[in-house]
Amino acid sequence: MLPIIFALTIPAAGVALYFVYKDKLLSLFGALLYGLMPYRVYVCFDLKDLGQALFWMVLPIIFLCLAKMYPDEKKKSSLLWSIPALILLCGIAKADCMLLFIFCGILFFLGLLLKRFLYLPLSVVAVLGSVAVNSAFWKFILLGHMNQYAVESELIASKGYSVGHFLMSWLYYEGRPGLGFGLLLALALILWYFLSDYEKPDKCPYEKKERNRNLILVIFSAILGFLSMHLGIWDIAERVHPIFIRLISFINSPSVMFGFGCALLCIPAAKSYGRLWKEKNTFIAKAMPVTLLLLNLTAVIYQICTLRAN
Amino acid sequence: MKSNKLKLIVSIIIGILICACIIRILIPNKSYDFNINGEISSDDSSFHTSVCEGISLPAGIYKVTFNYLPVTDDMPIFINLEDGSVFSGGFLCDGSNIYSGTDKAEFTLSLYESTEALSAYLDVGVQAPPFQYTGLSFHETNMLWSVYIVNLLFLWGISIAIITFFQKIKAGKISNDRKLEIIVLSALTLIGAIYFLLGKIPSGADQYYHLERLESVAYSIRDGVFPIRLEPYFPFNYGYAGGLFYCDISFYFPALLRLAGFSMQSSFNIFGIICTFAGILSTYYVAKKIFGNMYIGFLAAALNNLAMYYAFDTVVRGGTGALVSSIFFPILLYGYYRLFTEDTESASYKNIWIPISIGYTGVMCSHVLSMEISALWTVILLLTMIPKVFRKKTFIELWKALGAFIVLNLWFIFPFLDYYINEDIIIKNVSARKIQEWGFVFSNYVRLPFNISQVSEKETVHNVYLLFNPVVLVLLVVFLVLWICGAWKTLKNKNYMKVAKLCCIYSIISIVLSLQIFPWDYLHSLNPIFEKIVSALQFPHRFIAYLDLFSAVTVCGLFAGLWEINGKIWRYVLAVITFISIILYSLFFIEFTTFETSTTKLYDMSLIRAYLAGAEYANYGTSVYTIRPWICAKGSDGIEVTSYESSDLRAEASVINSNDEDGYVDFPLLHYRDYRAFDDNHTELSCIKSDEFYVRVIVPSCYAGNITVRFISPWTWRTCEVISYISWILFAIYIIRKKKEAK
Repeated sequence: MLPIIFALTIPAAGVALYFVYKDKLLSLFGALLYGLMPYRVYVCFDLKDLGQALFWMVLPIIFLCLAKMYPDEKKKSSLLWSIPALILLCGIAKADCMLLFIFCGILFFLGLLLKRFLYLPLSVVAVLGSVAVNSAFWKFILLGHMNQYAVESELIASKGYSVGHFLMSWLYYEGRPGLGFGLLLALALILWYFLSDYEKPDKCPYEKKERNRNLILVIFSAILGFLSMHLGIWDIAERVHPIFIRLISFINSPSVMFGFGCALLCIPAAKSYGRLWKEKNTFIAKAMPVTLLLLNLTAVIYQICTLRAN
Repeated sequence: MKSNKLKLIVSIIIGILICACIIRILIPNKSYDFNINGEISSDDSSFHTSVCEGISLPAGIYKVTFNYLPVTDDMPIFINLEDGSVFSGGFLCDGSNIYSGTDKAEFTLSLYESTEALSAYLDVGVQAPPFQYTGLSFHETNMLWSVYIVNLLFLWGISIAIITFFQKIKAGKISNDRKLEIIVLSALTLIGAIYFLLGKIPSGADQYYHLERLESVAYSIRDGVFPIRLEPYFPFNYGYAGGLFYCDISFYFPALLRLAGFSMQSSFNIFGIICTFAGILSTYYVAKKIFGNMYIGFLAAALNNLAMYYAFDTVVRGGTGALVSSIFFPILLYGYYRLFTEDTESASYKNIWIPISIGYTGVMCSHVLSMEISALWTVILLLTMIPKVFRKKTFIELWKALGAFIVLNLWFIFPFLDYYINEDIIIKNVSARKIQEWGFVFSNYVRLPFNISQVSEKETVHNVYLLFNPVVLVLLVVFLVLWICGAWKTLKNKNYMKVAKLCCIYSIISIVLSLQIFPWDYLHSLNPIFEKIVSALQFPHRFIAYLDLFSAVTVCGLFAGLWEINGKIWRYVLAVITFISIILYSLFFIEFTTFETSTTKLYDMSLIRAYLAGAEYANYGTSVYTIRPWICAKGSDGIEVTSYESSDLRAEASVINSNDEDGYVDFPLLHYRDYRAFDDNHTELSCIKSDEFYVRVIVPSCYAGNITVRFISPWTWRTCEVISYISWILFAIYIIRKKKEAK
C-alpha cells in the first residue's frame, strides 16, 4: 500500500502544479522534487506511517485548491475552491490530525504574509472541522485519559536535526532525512536567482511580486527547518501546560517540520529549475536539472533498497 | 543610507548586549558548596548511586569539584551530574573518572537554564574498593558570558557583512561571478564539512590525541606560555613534548574558543569547518589562477576537497594535522607552477619565493609528516625540472624560498632537531615499523561505492576499501591518451597544460607509491636513513592525499584543454560525468563514513586525560600508559615532602632532607632535558631522569626548603624564536609593501 501511495504522489503533484502554473516543465520538475523528497521516503519506507503518507499524497491537491482560491492577479478571489480544500483538510484529519493542525498553523501565517486572507478563516474552520471529524483525538489531547493512540508523553527535542543532517542525500540518521540532491541544488539556484535579480528594481511589478512570494516561501521553509532542529524550544513549549505535552508528543519528532519545510520549498525550487532550463540556452544548463533529478532518483532508490534490506 | 542606519542600529543593539555581558563579568562569581559525606563499600556496585539531589543552580558555566579521600588504586567509579528539568541542549556535562592518586575530580558543567533539580550520581563498577567522598562544589566562571560575547561579536560580524553585501549588490559593485563564487564555495564548504555539522565529534583513531593537544594549547595560552614546547594537559598534567615535534600553531584559534567557554566539540567543529573552507578556497584560488577559469576552479575545489581521502582522514583516522596541512598543498603547487612557467624577466618573478615559503611553512606548522612527503615531492619535482632549476633567477628564487622557510620556522625547526638528534625519544626508535602491507591493491581504485559486501580482506585497509574516485582515474587515462595523440599540441596557452601533464605523471607515481606492489619494505631495509623515512610514513595510502590534488589539476587540465579546443559536445558530457562521479563517490563516501564511524559528544576533556596514540614524543622506555596522577611529589628514604603545589609544567615542593647524604625527590612530570630545579635562593639543583623517566631532583644533605621545578627553554631556542619573530615582521612588511606597489 505505502509504495503505491509513494508512487501516486508524483502524478498527483504533477497534475496539481500543472493546473496552477500551466507549465509542463515546471510541473514535471516540481512533481519529481516533491515526489522524491527523502522525507517522503522516510515516511513511506522507514516510518511506515500510512496516515502521514496519505497526507503528503493529498497535500498537492489541497495546494491546488488553495492556489485556485487566488487564480490571478487581476481576477477576484474564488471562495468556491475553499469547499474542496476544507473537505480534504477535514478528511485528512482522520489520517493524521497533528499534521493537519501544523498545516493549518502554517497556512494561517502564510495567509497573513502572502496577503491571502481567505486562508485565515479556512485554517480556523479546518481545525474546528477536524474536532468534529476526529473528536476522540481531541478528547485525548484535552483530557488526556483516552490513550487509544498509544502515544507516550515525551520530550521530542532530542530527535531534532543538526545542520549536517539537512545536507544528507544518500543516507540519513534515524528519523532525520536530508534535503536530497534535488532540493540542495534548488536551494543554491534560488539563492543565485535572488542575488542576480536583487539589483534589478525596475522589473515589472508582477515579477517582483512573484519574487517576493517565492522569498516568503523560502524564508518560511527556513523557519520550519529551524524548528525541526535539536533545540530547547520544544522542551520549553511542552512545559507550558500538560495539554502541550500531549500535543507535542503527538508530533513525535521535530522532523515533521522539516517535511513541511521541504514541501514548501518545492514550489520556488520548481520555478528555479524551470527558469534555468528556459533562460540558459546551453547544454550544461539543461543537463544540470535532469542530472540532478536522476541522481535524486538514484539516491531515493538506494535509500528504499537499503531500508528494505534492513 | 538606509543600510548605514541599519548597520548603526545593529551595532548599537549588539554593543549594549556586549556591555551587559561585560558588566555581568565584573560582578564576582559565586561558589556553591555541598557538604556531602558518604561511603561506597565494595559490595555497592551500581550504575546509578545518588550522591546529592535537588541542587539549585542559576544558569552558568561551572567548574565542578568532587572531593574524596585519597585513593591509591584505580577506581572503576565515575562521577556525573544529571538534570531532567533543563531544556534539551541546555545541560552539558561529561562527568569524570575517579583516578588513583587523586583526592578530587574536576570537570565542567555548562548550564544554560536555572535549575532546582540537579543531582550528582556515581557509577560504581563491580568490585570497586571502598571509597569515601567528602564534598561537592560548583564554582561559577565567567565563561557563559564570554561565550555570549563571542557569539554576539560573530552575529555582529555576520550582520554587518550581509548588510554590506546587499548594499554593494544594489550599487552594482558585486559582479555575477563573485556572487556565483560565494554560492558555490559556501555550498562546497557545507557539504565538505558535514561531519563537523552533526552536533558531535567524529571519534576517529587519533581524534582524542588532537583534542588533548587542543586542550593543552588552551591551558598554555591561559598560563602565558608561548611558544608551546611541552603540552601541559596530558597525560594527567605530566607534560608531553607534543609541541616540540608537532607544531600547535593551528590550534590557537579553537583553543581561544575553549578559553572563551565553548565546549570542546563546538571549538573543534568550528575549527574543522574553517579548515574545510580554507582548503576549498586555496584550491579554488590556485586552480583559477592556473587555468584562468572560474568553473575549472570550482571543479578543482570539488575534486580535491570533497575527495574521499579527505573524509577518511578527518573521520576515520582523525588526522587533524593532515587536514590542516592539505590547505597548503595547492599554495605550494601554485608557487612551483609560477616558478617554472613564468617569464624570468618579469617584475613579479622575484616574488615567487613568497607562495613557496608560505606553502612549506603552512605544511610544517600543521603536520611534520606531510612536510616529509612534501619534501619528497619537491625532490622529484626539482629532478624533473632540472634544466630550469639552474636558471640563475629560478635558482635564486628557490634559495630565497628555502631561506625564508628556514628563518620563519626556525623557532620550531631548531628545537625539533635539537631534541630529535640529541635525545632518546620513542619516535627515533620506531624504525622497525614496516609499511608495505598497509598499501592498497589496485582493485581498491576501481570499485563501485556501494559494493561493500564484496570486499576481500586484502582490500580492506583501516576498514576502508575505497579511497579514490575511479571516474577520475578514467579521466586521467583520457588525458594521457589525448596527450599521446598530440591533442594538446595545438593549444595557445601551454602553461597550464605543462602543469597538468606534470600532475598526470605525479598522479601515476602517487598511485604506484600507494600500492602494495611498491617495494617499501625493500627500501626500508636499504640503510638506516631510508628505514627512518619509510617507517615514519606509517601508511602508503598517505600518498592519496597528494594524488587527489595532482589528479584534480590533471582533470582540470583536461577540461581546460577541451574548453580551448572547443566545439565538442563531449566536453559537456565529461563535465556531467565528473559531476555525477563526485556525487556518487565522494558524497556517498562522506555520508557513509559519517554514518558508520562512531561519533561522540564531548563537552570538556575530563574523561580523556592520557591518550597518547603511539606516545612517540616521550623518552624511550617511558611506560606512559601506566601513568596515574600523584597527589604529592615522592621523596627517597629519609626525605619528607611537607607541601606540594603544581601547575602546568611547574611544580613546587617543601622538602626536608634530614640525612647526611644526598637524597632525591621525584616530581610527577615526564622528564625532558630542559627541566630545571631551583631552591629558595635560586641556586640550581641537579635535575635528572628517574628510573621511571620522571623528573628527579637531587636534594642536598641536611636541606630544608622549597624546591621549584620548571621547564626552561635553552637560550639557543630563545634566539631562534627572536630570529623567527623578526623574520615574520619583516615578511609581513614586505608583503604589504608589495601589495601596495601592485595597486
